[in-house]
Order: sequence, then structure tokens, then C-alpha cells
Amino acid sequence: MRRTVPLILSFTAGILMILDSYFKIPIINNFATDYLMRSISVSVAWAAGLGSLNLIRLHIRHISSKRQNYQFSYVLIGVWLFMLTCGIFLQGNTANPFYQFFYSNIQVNLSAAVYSLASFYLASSCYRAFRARSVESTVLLVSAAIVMIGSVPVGAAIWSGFPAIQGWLLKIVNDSVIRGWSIGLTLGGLSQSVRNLVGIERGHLQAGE
Amino acid sequence: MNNSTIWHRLAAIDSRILYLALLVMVAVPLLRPIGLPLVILDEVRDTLALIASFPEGSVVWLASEVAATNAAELRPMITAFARYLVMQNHRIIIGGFWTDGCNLARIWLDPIFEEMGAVYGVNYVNLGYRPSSTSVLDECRKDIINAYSDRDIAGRKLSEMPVMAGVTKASDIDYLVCMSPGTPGTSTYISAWRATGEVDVIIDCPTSGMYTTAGNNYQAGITKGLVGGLNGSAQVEQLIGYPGKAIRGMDAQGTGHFAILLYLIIGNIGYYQIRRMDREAKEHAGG
Repeated sequence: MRRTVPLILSFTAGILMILDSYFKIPIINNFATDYLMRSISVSVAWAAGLGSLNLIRLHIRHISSKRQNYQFSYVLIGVWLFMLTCGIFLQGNTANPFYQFFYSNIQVNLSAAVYSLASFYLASSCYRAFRARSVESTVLLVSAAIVMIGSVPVGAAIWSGFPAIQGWLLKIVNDSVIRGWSIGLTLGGLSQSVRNLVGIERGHLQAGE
Repeated sequence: MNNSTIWHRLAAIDSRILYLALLVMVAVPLLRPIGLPLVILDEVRDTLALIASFPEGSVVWLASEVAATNAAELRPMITAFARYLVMQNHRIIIGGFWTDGCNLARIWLDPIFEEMGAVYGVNYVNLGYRPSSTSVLDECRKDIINAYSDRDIAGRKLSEMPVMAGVTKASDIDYLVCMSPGTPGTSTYISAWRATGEVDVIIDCPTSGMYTTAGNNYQAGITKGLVGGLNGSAQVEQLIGYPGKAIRGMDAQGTGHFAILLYLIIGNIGYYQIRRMDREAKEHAGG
């Protein structure tokens, strides 16, 4: 029963969505849009709430068992509660200037700063790990170097041929490869969907067993 | 075996020195721009010409699929496009499915719209974030106002705004400009609106990382315009005559790339020489 009902539900929903995509049958089209598609929004909203609660539960556990660096969990819970309260209770909600001040001056800048740090690690790892150990890795290294230098003005200033070679690598070599694997990926996704739809693939139904 | 030769030192430079050198190479051109000339790509020129071919009052959906993490590339991009769309006097509907997307558009673009004399509700509107791109975009195929519960980002009624006059469903949108750092992004709109025949013209504005896959859709004619990364943003800024952060950033990106290239070369010279020395030492030991 725990498997049969979800299987019937996913099969029915899947078939209805396929019919909605390929045929103009008003009753199915309306049902798909008004109920099935909207249920995705509801699920996503629930998932966001569930994710938040799960995160808070995890950090409360960190604090109660005094794990390493548990002090940061206080910060996380405090900031979460503060922004949540501001976003829900202040006039204009997330449009409120008080909320916007914290959002644009702290969250945005911190996110951008953390992400920017990746460039330093990237540079360091290029230096340490990107070695011409074989013919294949040498080809990869030379291509990467040309694409990198050809995509910035300094490359064109050094030699006008860099942007042209970079364009050829991207538009001919890269696009062909991307098209090949994207077709393969789509076919793989299609076969996986069919397996899920008809119940051959049941891994997602085994949670908790 | 002597491990303190110049080659060993070259192959084992302290990370902190590498970080500091990169920081200097990126920071200096930001503070004192070099102003190297940009190479303008045909695809960028064609994209702007395509937008200009739409008559005044055309409706454009500006997909603000941005986040603070990709702001360095996509903020100059969306800013340059917002300017250009106002210059064309097109009606702009800003939507987005990244949680920060529409809020960042409000922070970044509202001052620009104000500067250019565009009026909220008349020339542009910000729809705000909605969870689940798939379901919202699908519902927009039938009724955009209903999909957004007749409310914009600040809770004002969409149905009373002149900018939404005659725009009831996705097929009323003339073209779409999509910032695309991943998913949701251009591929989402292609599935939801391009494949279903609602919107034929999609202009793809990916980050540099996504640019490598975006070329495929452009080459196949699925997207009609392509402007990629900070380089593309800088080209747009130059072509529309509003030099900004992208053009300034290109010098820094150039020197940053150059630094990484130098690291690659130095690291490999050290590696090659050490390998050669090891091989020679083994031959001596064996012979």
C-alpha cells in the first residue's frame, strides 16, 4: 500500500502532464495547470519552510550538545529570527527600508564576498594541480589558457589572433561537445522518467524502510 | 636529491604570496583603469540590433535571475540592458525565480529607471519573487495577472497599471531578455515559453561559466540573442554609450586572467624541471 498509492499517483500525474503537453484537451489542460502545476508551488513553499525548520533544529542540537564552534549557531538562529520577523511584521514586509538596509548592506555584500574568494582558491589550484602530465592534459591546459586570455582585452592587445582562436574553440569544439552530451543527457533523462512513471524505478519510494 | 633548487621553490610558492599577487593584479586596474580596447563580437551587435527592431511600446520580460553571488557579472549586464530597453521605450516587466532576483533588480534598477525618466507602473513593473518557476510560467501561459495574484513586488494591483495594458498572457510578451547564471534561467524559459510557442524571441545573457553551454542554443536558433559574462556586458555598455562597471571591470578581469596564466606557466615549468631532474637522478643511480 505504501508503494502502490504513490505509484498510482505519480503514474496518473505523469500521464496527465504528458497529455497536457501534446494535446489540446481543455479538461486535461485546465486540470494540469490549475491543480497539478499549482501543487508544485505549494510543495516548494512547504519545502522552504521545512528546510528552515530543519536548519534551526540542527543548530539547536549543536548548541545543546555544545559541539565545536556552537557559538556560531547562536548567530545563525538570531539572524534568521531577526530577518524573518522584519520580513513578516514590518510595514511593507520585505520592501521596508529597515529590512532592505540589512539585506542590501549585509547579506548581498557578504554573499558576493564569499563567492569572490573562490577566485583566489581557483588561482592557487591552477598553480598546484593543473599540470601538463600527459598529451590530453596538455591539450586541456593550452585550450584553457587560450580561452582565458582570448576572452579579455589584454589577450587581444598581446596578439590579435587570441580572440579568433578562443572563438573557434568555443563555437566549434565546445559547442559540438556540449550538443553531444546534452542530447545524451536528455535521452538519459527521458528513459529515467519513463522508468519512474511506470514504476520500474522505485528507489524514491523506499525512504524510511 | 637536493630539494631546494630554484625549480623546487618555483613549484612550491606559498599560497599567501599567490593570493597577494592576484589581489594586487586585480585591484590596481580597478583603481587605475588601463582602458584597453574591447573586441566587439557580432553576436552582441546583432542582439542590440534585434532589440532595436521592435517598435516602441513593445513588451519585454526582463528575467532577473540574479543573486548576490553572480552580481559581479550580472549586475552590469542587467543594468546595461535596463538602460537600453528604456532608451527603446519598451514596456518592461521584471520577473524572476531566484529568491533574490527581483529584490536585487529593485535595488539596482530603480535608481537607473528614475535617472532615465521611466515611471513605475507605466514604463516598467517588478513582479517580485514567486516559488516554482515551472508552475508560475505555465500559469502565465493562460493568465499572467492571476499567476501573480494581481500583485506586484510591493503588493500593488497589476491590473490597474498602464504597463500591463493588453498583457494578459505570455504570448502577449514580444521578447524576453534573460539573465542566466544557471537554473532557473534561460533553459527554464525555453521549456516553458519557447517550446510551447508563447515567446519566440529569447535573448540569453549568461554568466561566463554558462556562456560555454549557451552558445549551443544560440547557434541552433533557439535563442535569438547572446551576450555573455562581464565581457558581453562591457560590450553592451560601450555600444549603448553608457560606460560603467563592466568596462572598468574588464581591465581587472584581464589582469586576473593574466595572473592565473602566469601561475599555470610557473607551476608547469617547476613541475617539468623537477621531473627532468628526478629522471636524470634515477638514470645516474641505475647507471
